[in-house]
Amino acid sequence: MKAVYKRELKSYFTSVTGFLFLAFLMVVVGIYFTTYHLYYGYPYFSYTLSSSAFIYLLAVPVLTMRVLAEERHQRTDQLLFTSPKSLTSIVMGKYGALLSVLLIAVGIFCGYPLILTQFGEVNLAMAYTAILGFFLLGAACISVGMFLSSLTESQVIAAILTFLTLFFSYMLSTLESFLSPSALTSFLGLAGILFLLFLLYFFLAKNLVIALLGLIVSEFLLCLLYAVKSTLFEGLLAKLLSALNLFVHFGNLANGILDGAEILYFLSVILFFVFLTIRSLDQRRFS
Amino acid sequence: MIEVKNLMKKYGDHIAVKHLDFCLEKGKIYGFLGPNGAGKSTTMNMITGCIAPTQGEVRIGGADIVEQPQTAKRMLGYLPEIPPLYPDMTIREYLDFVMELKEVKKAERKEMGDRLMERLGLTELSHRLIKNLSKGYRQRVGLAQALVGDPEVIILDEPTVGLDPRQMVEIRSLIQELGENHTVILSSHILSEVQEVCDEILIISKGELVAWGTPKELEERFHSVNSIHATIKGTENGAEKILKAIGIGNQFTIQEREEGYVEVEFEATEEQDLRETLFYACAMSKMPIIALSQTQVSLEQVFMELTSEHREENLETAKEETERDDLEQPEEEASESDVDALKKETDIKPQLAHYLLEEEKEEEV
Repeated sequence: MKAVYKRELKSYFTSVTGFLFLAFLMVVVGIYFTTYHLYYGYPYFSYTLSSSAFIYLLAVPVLTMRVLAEERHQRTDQLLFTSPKSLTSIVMGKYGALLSVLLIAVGIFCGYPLILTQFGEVNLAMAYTAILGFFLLGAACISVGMFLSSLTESQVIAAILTFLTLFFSYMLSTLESFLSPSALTSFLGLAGILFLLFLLYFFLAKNLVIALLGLIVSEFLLCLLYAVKSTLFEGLLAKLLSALNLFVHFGNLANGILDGAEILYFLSVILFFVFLTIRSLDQRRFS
Repeated sequence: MIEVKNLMKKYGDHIAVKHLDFCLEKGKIYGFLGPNGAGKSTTMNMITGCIAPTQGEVRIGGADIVEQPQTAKRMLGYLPEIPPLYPDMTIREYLDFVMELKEVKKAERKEMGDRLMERLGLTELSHRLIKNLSKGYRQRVGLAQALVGDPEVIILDEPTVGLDPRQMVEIRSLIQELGENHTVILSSHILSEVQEVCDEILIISKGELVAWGTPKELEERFHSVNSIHATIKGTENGAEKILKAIGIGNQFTIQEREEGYVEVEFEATEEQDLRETLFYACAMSKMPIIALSQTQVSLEQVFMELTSEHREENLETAKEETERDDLEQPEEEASESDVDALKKETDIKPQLAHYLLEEEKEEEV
């Protein structure tokens, strides 16, 4: 794990990606910091962070696109897979290196609230809670990016996939507001989601029978449930979609509320995608 | 050292490797020989744990590569077809990374790195970025990587591809050196290389092991038959008479090349030298031999034969050879044609005498 971690971290700074990632974050946060705090004199650092969160859409794909795709492309994954290190420790090393780059940026942001204290009263606890939220959001985005990078051999495809996924997640809150909270909408939405899930399963596992069977059975159950108790569906789709929206979960933390549920949410997203990455690498050995 | 049992790999419907079974001993150099796409790399990838087998098992020094990967992989050094190099690292950094990955103790790293670079002639380039190295040097770095930690088993997938002839010789002598106290498996589609370097050769074709033995054994086993080529001054009929007389049967070709000269070609087993018999037979019937040559059948032809489309007949005997108890008694394996040829040999002398007697009678008349 340490060997992979060290090599990976170093590679971000012998190439342009690490600097580019940091530059994206620093520039955007710097601009908002200057306008909000230095120019207009707002005392809440969280304003800057919630306005800057969108930059992850661009910065994370740049950072994560090569992490596993490039190993596969250069065939260096064969070196890793034939070494006595386990897949888990390899992936943890990689993820650790990615987090370290993010931590450099977050470490610098930690100094910003202190600058503000020079000009007046600042609630540091709120500011640092926001920074923690910003870090967790970034860490979750990175885990998504790492997983998508493990799926392909091409950096470009990995970057585009990551951007699209994060963009979709980011746009969900706008999308949600168009949806009516009626039971029928939820029902149709869920039916659609089930269809997409089994379509995805079919593309990954290439097993038409199981995919079709699973789809029919689950759609039937859904219909049955809707026929029996349609009130259950009211507002369900919105709840489901908000679970997929990483950025909305940053909201509470950004407002300075140290919400355990939100922290748990981010940690489970991270764990889920790290686990998926390990599974996807392992799966590749069998295909 | 390496046990492979009933190993199989399927890619969708395509079977890349089917039912491989072998057990490799310590301290020998083994060569996997086969045309491109025969399943050599797939087999090596499965032995090293890079990809998982669809069926079967691989044991390295007793440790199963799937069940106990850590133990098994500690004994392995692997150079894949494309050396797994990070282009943005220097050779020194790269080797340090591999040493850390392979759990070489920190105190030993510096010395081991120096020794490996010295051995592969990389010392002067230690601070060059790998992306700036030529193909030959990259291959050497890849080889150095495989030797990190002095593993007991070294697996090299086409180690000399893309090297110039001098580098090839260097790498081959290095491999021979390694073979003294390591188990080395190398794959190649270049015959002369395998023949020169390896103690034993495993010929793989279409995912199956079709033959196994030392280079000499393979040559002997499959080519007890040599081809003899002669140009004789005389007529086709005369030549045919002689050939029949010395007991070749019908397995020969006669061609008239120029006016008054015929070219004869036939096969003979290695044990009997029919050249002499032919010479006397021709001399007796006053048909001088102008040219006579014997074609030594090389391992190349064994290889071509075993890996060609029409190898079904060979397959039967070849499969038995993988059992390896035939090593001491190659005679038992002799195919029918060999037996026939041997029988004929014993018949040669009386027949020849008979023929010569007849000639004399004709002359008398």
